[in-house]
Amino acid sequence: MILRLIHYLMAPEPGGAVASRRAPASAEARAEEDRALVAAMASGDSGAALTELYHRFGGIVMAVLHRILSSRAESEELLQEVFLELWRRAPSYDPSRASVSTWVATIARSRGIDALRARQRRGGDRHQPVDDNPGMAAMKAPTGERPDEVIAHSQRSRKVREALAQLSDVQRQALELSYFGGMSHREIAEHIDVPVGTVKSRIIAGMKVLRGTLVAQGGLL
Amino acid sequence: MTAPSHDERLEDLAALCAAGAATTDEKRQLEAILASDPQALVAYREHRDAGALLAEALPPMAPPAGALDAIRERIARDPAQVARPSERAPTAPPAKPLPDNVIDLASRRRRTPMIVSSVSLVAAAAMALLWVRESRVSSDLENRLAAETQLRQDSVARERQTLARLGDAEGQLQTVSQKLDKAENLATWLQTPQVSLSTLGKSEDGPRVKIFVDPDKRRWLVYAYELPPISDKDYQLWFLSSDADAPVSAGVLQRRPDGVLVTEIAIPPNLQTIENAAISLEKKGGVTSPTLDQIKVSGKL
Repeated sequence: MILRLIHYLMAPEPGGAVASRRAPASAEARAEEDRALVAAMASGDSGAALTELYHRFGGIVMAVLHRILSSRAESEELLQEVFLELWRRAPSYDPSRASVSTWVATIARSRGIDALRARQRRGGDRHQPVDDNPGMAAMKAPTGERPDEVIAHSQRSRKVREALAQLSDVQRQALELSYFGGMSHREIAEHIDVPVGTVKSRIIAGMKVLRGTLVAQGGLL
Repeated sequence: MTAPSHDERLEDLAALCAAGAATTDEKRQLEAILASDPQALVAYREHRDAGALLAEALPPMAPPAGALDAIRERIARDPAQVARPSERAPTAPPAKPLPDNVIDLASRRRRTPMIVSSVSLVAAAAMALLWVRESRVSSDLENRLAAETQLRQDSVARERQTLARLGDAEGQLQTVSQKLDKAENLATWLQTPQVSLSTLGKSEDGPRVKIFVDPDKRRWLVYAYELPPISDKDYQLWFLSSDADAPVSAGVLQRRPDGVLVTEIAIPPNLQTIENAAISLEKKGGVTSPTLDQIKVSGKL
């Protein structure tokens, strides 16, 4: 703690963040840093640790929320809710259950689906159109602002694209309807007019493909 | 069709949950498996991480400006914002008393007072460094702000001076312009054919009067020379006309800086012809009838 403080004092810029000026770390080192950030937040660090977590995952959280809600305004409001929940749940984060990125994405997804259902109860449209071109989210996180983040994301993106390329179109459709649409396999079956068993099979098969690709590549962690 | 094995069941449930497609009952079944089979956690985690790939496949979106500050503010107001000890730190078992033949090296090694002092010293040094750094930064900022403010004030003062000088110059320009206009008008008038000149006074050294008469406009322009100023007295001009029983006042003359007395007057409408004019020295402001022994100059027009 004291060594960190001295490192901060010697830093050329105030708020010298954890790992922000280091060369891009390996996936394992990065995952370890993620866990350290959450542990720091669990100890009450709402400064450097929270800031670093925000910089690492803020763009993904926004993207997930927007993918679910198709509304930038709602996504921006919910972004704060998500990080507040990450903060509150940091003490109960269990690394044996999920990586930090999975944990963050899961919470973002949960809050997004909750908001989507709340909107539907108010009379909004339940079945958001599935857009398998995420590019329509339009506003990418600015590049060049955090070069280490850009590189790290680029490395992960390559592996993600390779994993997703293994899915068939119907598997991908089923997974996106469930993951981003918040639909159960029964609801998906009704929506795309196929038997429930078929939907379950597609989802299970798709997840196995993704998992298998991850394991074969040594994971993203 | 054979029932799925335990592993197959776990895989299916984990896949459905990771994709967010599981029903409530299926989620409960998975939790039950995880609770009874710790090995299942590995497969569960792998499925969850695989599901999160769908999120990571999305291109990141820029959060709105100020979001981080808003989040920090909300955390600061959050009731749960207290220092939290790690929940995963194992508690140390109670120390057992050591047998007599075992040297407790640990206790010998405990240089608690020295360690505490060293840590305190380092902490104090770090705080002092921090204080010095912050003071220096703050002082630099203050100095820069003061210098900037002074520069701006000086700049504003210079601009005001410039504006004032420009204002003065403009005023002077207007005055000169007005004088030129007046002189031009006078020159033009004097050149008109109907304007005639009459001169009063006998001696070149004594009082003299020049009267420019414009009968068409019924206007006189009078210049009087060699009439020295007398305190509390004015020189007054008189029309002497056969149309009036007594001399008619044409007003007091004004003295120019060069000593010449001037007046410009309109001829009263009841006086058709004016044969003579006179200037007398009267009390300040003039009188209604001339003081005869104070007439300084007179003559026929």
